[in-house]
Amino acid sequence: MTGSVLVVEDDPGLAEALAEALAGEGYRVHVSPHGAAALEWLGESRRPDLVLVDVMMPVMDGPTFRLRQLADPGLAAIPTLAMTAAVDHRLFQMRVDGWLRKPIPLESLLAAARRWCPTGALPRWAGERSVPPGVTGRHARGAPGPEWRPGTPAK
Amino acid sequence: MMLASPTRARGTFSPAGDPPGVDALPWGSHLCHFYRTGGDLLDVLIPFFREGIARHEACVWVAAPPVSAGEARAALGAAVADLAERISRGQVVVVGHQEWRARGAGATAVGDAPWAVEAGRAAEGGFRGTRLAGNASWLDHAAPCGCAEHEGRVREAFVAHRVAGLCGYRLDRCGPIDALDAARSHQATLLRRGGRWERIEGPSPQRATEDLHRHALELERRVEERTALLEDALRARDEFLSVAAHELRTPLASLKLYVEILARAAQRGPLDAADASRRLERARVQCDRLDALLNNLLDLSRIRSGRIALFPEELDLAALAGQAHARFSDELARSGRPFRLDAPAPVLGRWDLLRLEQVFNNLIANAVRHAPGAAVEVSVRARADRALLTVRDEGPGIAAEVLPSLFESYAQATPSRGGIGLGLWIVRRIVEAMGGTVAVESRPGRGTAFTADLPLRAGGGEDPP
Repeated sequence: MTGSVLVVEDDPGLAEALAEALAGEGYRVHVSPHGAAALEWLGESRRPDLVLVDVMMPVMDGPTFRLRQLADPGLAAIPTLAMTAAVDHRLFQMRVDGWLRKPIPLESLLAAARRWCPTGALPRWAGERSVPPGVTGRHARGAPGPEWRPGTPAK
Repeated sequence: MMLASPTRARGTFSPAGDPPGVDALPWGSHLCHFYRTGGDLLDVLIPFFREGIARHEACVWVAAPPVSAGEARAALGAAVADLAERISRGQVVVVGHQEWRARGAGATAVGDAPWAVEAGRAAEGGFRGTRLAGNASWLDHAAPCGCAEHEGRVREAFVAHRVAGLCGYRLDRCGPIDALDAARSHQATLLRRGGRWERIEGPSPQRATEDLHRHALELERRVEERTALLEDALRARDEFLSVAAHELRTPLASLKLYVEILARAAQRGPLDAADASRRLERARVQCDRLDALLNNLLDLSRIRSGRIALFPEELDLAALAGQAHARFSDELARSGRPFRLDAPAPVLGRWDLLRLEQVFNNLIANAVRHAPGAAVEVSVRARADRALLTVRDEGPGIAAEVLPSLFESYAQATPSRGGIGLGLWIVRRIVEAMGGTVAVESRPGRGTAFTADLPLRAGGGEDPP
């Protein structure tokens, strides 16, 4: 059984490309165009292994989505990464497990999926570094490796 | 500061040419001159008013002997071809001194003085200011003294208005003291001696300093005003550039992902043809998005620098709606969004094909962006001699306070989320160039509808290629 990823991104082109990249590696992907749609989808007892969420979105933005997610005991534990072009206060308010810096290189995206989808393929980087390349964050799980420190934006 | 310009060779009035410094007069100027004959008077006043007329200023000539109002009109008419028309438009007023004095008889406040009334009328008429001249000063006073005091008051009052005045004194009617007073109480005196013009600056250094100070303040105020405007424009442009760069990066990021996906798949082994062509098609869609964005960016400067050139041809608006629907249907279908086309009958007319496609594209792209996940409908209808093109979405709607600025360009728009703020502005400019109007109807929570109302024959053949 492979892992599943929820992509919350309002730009249909980018959402599609992200879904395509993940699906190509065997992950099951669901795309929601904004936070409210994502909560609705999650509300039907769906528990993806990983949530990738955009910061700026209409209807419901990333920070609001994250606030609601953390307030729901059933959803709070789902690993969540923000996708953002700018590392700013909004990102830190979200208390995410890490973030992917836009434009997201394919390698970083797939490394993040491998890292946070326990049911997916064994991460290729396992044993080499504790945090996949391109994924950083205050709440990154595992012991910080030599290349990681809190707040370091992805290269 | 007024500098005397060298006499110019226009001299139909005088071998000495025009009097110096009557061309560009700073507002608040108050000059005087001395004359002996009606010919002398005309030599000064005709160039004075001719320059004012050419500068789009209102001109008021208070005529007094030895030149009557009729003679003044005839002389000015010989120098200004369309004088009659300018008089009827109110730019030029030639009035006899008795009538002028009668008008001023009841005036107590400075604002009621005939010259102030004329200045107000000129401002309302859109003229840049008012030029006044008269030679009745010697008649205004029973004894031609005390004029210094009077002129001094006039001078003070002038400063607050966009008015420039030229007073004429008849040499054989004023005594030496009067002449001295006149020269003293004006900013400068124009004098012709030995066939040459001379400009004698007023004798008060204090007054000259005040004038300089006043001009400097005015200049400073204008510079500050302009600088603030420029700074605002620059800030808006900087913001726009960063937003535009962000917008260009989004399709580019998608495009890059597809390229990387294909490269990764190719490394693993032979590409599956169907997979590859699907991914390439999606990459192409992102290229189209980049292209559309760049077109809008280019249109920004094109449209700002002039009107939109239209190339009308016979078209069916319903068919164009169908093509636009087809362009976006894949994208909306993949995200599971209902996308309806409602164009049951042909709507024939003469329009510019590319510009109409742009209207469809911008309106649909706007709905895709701002009503994420919601249903979208494109409809086309004919109503009498108009065509109605509507793009409706069932998205979150637009707050009422944002609606009025929706069609303004980036400088005014406050995009809460993405978009370079050009799409709707371009739609409005195109539709208006076609002689139509564009309207928006929106209620929060109930969706938004943009409707372009176009004449069936938009921007006929008179448009430049």
